[in-house]
Amino acid sequence: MWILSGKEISSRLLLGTAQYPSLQIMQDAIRESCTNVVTVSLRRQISAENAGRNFWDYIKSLNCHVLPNTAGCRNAEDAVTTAEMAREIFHTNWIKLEVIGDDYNLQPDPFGLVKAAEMLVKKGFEVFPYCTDDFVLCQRLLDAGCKILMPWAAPIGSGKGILNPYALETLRARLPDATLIIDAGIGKPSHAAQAMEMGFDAVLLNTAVSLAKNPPKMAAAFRDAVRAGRAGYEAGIMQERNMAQPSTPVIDTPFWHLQEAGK
Amino acid sequence: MLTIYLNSKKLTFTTTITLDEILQNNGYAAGHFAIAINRQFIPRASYAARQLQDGDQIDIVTPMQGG
Repeated sequence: MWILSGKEISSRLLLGTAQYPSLQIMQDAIRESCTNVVTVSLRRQISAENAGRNFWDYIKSLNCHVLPNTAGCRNAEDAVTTAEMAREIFHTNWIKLEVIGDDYNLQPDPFGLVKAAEMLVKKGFEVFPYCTDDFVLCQRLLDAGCKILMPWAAPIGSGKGILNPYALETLRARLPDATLIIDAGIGKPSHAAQAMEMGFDAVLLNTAVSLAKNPPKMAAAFRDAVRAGRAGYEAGIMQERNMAQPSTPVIDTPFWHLQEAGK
Repeated sequence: MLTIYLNSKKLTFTTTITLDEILQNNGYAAGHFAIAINRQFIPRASYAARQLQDGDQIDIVTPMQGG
């Protein structure tokens, strides 16, 4: 178990709810993942007839904590308004803060992100900012009152895995007290395991599961990868060495004395 | 004449109207939604007291899938 924003959480995998072939497959994948936290969003209602109700009923039946996002926002003011609407609808002060600054790689706008984070913290939100791996940006977000940071591994939906392990390792080393969740760019279970082995507190992903041929099976694979990566981190990973070291002791192995004598 | 945009749908009124009234008239009496007017959040508790102004843009949002 670990604590995320005052809540006891058993899984270190957070899962998105978008892009599944059906709501039933989404529900099956979420169950297989054993996640405790799912991300959701808001959209303009198309008609007055129960729009969004079916999806919300599925989510409520899963008994997960809900992390709403501000997807689609491109400035701090819209992100704050979206967060306030999400708080009223979902009855949570958690908000995954997204302020997008570029259409090509959906990179967060660091300036809008810090501005929105400051405003939201003052309004009582627990802000989960989706950010880059830039150390100074992360420090500014902590200064704004964020306790949780969600640096990207790679651009959203790219599936490229951890593009800059140096930057992420630096974040982990320099910000030991912050809750750090890798968000975006994870493509396969080994990427998630790598992030967890680096000491990150959790991984948030969506597309890698929802676009898999078998989303529930992939959700289970990520569940196991995250557990394995975390266990590896906690167990203490050996130091890399440049020179080979025999794992079997060579002294008194057959013919060892002859090799030593050059015979 | 009062022109209001409800999720981009143009509506016109000859008398004043509150947010609560326009929601009820358009089938939104109850439901799982939240509202912004002119990109500002409007808490549910203030729907009845909110008098709409000419040109107001009302956005009604509901839960959807997200990553």
